[in-house]
Amino acid sequence: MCSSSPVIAIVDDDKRVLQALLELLESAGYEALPFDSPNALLDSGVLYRITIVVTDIGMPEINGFELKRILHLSNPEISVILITGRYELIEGLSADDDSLILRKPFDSSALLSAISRSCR
Amino acid sequence: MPTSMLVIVVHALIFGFIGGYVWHMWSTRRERTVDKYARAIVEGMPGHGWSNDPSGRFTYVSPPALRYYGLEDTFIKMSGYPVGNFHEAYAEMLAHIIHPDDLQGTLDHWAATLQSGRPATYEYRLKRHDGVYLWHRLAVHPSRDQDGNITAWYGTQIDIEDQKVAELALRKREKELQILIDALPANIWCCDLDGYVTHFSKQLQEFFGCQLDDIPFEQRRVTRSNPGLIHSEDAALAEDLLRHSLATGEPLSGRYRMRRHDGVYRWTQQRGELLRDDEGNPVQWYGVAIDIDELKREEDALRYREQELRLLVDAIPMMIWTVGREKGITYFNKQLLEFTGITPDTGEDIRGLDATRAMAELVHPDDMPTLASLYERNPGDRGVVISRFRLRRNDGVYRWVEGRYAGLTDDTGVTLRQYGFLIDVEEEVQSQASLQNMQEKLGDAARSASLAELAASIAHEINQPLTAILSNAEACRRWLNLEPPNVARALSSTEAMINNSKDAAEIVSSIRSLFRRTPRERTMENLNVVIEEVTRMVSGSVSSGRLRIHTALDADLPMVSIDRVQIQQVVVNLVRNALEAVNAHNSASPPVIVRSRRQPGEVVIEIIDEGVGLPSDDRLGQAFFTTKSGGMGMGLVICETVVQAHGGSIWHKPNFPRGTVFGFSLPLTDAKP
Repeated sequence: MCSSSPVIAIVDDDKRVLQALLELLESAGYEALPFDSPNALLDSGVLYRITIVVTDIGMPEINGFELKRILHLSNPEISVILITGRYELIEGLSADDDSLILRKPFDSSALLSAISRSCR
Repeated sequence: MPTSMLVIVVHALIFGFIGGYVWHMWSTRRERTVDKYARAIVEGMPGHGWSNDPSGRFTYVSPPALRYYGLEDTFIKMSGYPVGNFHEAYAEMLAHIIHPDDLQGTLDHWAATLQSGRPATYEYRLKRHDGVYLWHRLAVHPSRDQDGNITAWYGTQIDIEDQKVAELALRKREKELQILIDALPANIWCCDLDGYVTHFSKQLQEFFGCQLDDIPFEQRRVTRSNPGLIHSEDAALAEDLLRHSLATGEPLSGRYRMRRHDGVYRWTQQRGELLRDDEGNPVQWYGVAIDIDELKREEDALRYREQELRLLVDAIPMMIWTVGREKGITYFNKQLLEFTGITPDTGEDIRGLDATRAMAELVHPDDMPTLASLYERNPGDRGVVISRFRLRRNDGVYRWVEGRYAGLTDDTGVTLRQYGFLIDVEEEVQSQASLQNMQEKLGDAARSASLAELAASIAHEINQPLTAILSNAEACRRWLNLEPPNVARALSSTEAMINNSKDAAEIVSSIRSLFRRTPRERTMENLNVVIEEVTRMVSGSVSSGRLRIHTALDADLPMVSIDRVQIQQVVVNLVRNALEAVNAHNSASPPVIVRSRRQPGEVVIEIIDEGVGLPSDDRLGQAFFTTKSGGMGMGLVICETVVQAHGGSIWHKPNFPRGTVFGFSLPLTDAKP
């Protein structure tokens, strides 16, 4: 399902994180697109190009979990990687949840390897 | 027969002689009679008469003339002078009767007349017998025989002294006027009643670099088709002005360009007046042409600058206003008119608005009293005044704007005008409100959350920049590991890392300030300003609800020396407590009132709510005592500590009919011993 050059969408309402992840993914040779809210991504009209979405969880209006659910309604093939700095948000999750979740601050290699695994 | 013939001849001769004699006698007598009448006329007229022989020598001088000069007939006739040196002698004789200044002229004129043989007139001064010189006018004409040879000259002269004196005086006055006109540093012209120029002053001649005589007569009047010395673009105007004045007699006034001697056209201000004689009849036009080129240029430049400024004021994306010279009239620039959609009272060009009407229509009712009192209290003459309020946009939505204005006195130094601009700060206020929310959440957490929760909140705030730092660091390493290394991208990653780190440091320091204990520097502050800031801040965070805060501030509140942040925290705490009490009461939510007033030696702040009221419990103000379900009860303890550290006191009492009054006082600095 992953093409030779995956396009990765980054969604975070914190501009610093957004910029840093964009920088990281570009330095790793990926094409990455930044969005400062889930709605910005959903309204962008480029969903067909996206193979992987890296999204923050704690955001106003639509949170990361909801975004994942909405995305999978129409684009079940898109992989979603969740990231969060609020550990309490993921404390209640059951262990067998298949969500790929990274806790901020995460090791960059962890994110990169999660992405390359999603492309396999 | 010869004898009788001789007798006949002798008789004929005798009769002839007798006849001739009789004829001679008769004709002489007739001549004498004519001569007698002529003499009577000549000698009776109020003037002098005389005759000269063809060489100019006097043959007859009328007795009145002789009496006039007091001279002998023989002297004038120069009887006894030989004809040979006649001219010198003649001149010598005339020198007795003619003014020295006129003598040579008279002799020359007389010589010329004799030579030409034509009648002539001449004016000169003659010496009366008492030595007084008087002006006379003489007229001479020649008498000729059948062959046209001049037989005699006859002359008459009359006294013209009075006339000449008047004429000379007039000429002198004219000359003086001419000198005056030429001496004036002004371009003066005269023209006749038909508009033809009759005179240019010396100045004007120098300006044009030509004499009036150089200009053909028909070109001495300006017309469209013949601009002459006037700029061709202005000729029509000049002609119309002239025509109008000529037709109506009204003064001429206008501006047009005239060509200077160097070919440069200069703007002139023309003013002309019709001169009338004593009877009121028009005589001629007098005018001045003032060179206003510099002035005109300055005017044009000023007008241009004004237009530029107006364009600039309209073009910059900022809403600008000023209170006009007329009291209470406000002028809005284009941006402000468009933003508010308000229509000016006095037309599009002027953009004047009644200030009271504009404020009433555009400012949010809740912000109106504060703004009005601020404006009233501070006209901006001591510096820039800053305020924030909500302004109605043309779609009816109120937007937060920041207004800054300053008052400037005009040239007269009396009228104070306000100049101000407004910036739409809605987004900023919104983001500030959300920042405030974050801070308050953090503050709330500090007050009510468990240590674990507090730690989680802080961790999250720190984790964000930390994540960014890690990602940027990894990116930076990757950029440098490329072959060849992408240094530019690596540098920008590093730049971002530095900023992320600064953010993290700021978060840490802001958390520290929440728990700070060390006393900070105190500054002289106006508590009203602190209160306004707090109410605005807190209002922002409760804007969604129906809760309201009213202020009743003493405008003459003296300044006090305080730790601004700490006192702000006290007011925030008390106001929030009051709001929560009202909220808990859950009724029609009457407003919370924040009041400031001055008491001898101190300033008192009171926060009044009509909420649930307090239990009569002396545990109030102790740590960990709280009437609220969530909260650690630290608020009042902190307030008390802060106020006491400032040398003031804090208290509370029940409000009537319900609720609570929390108050605290701070001592005036100069009232301290």
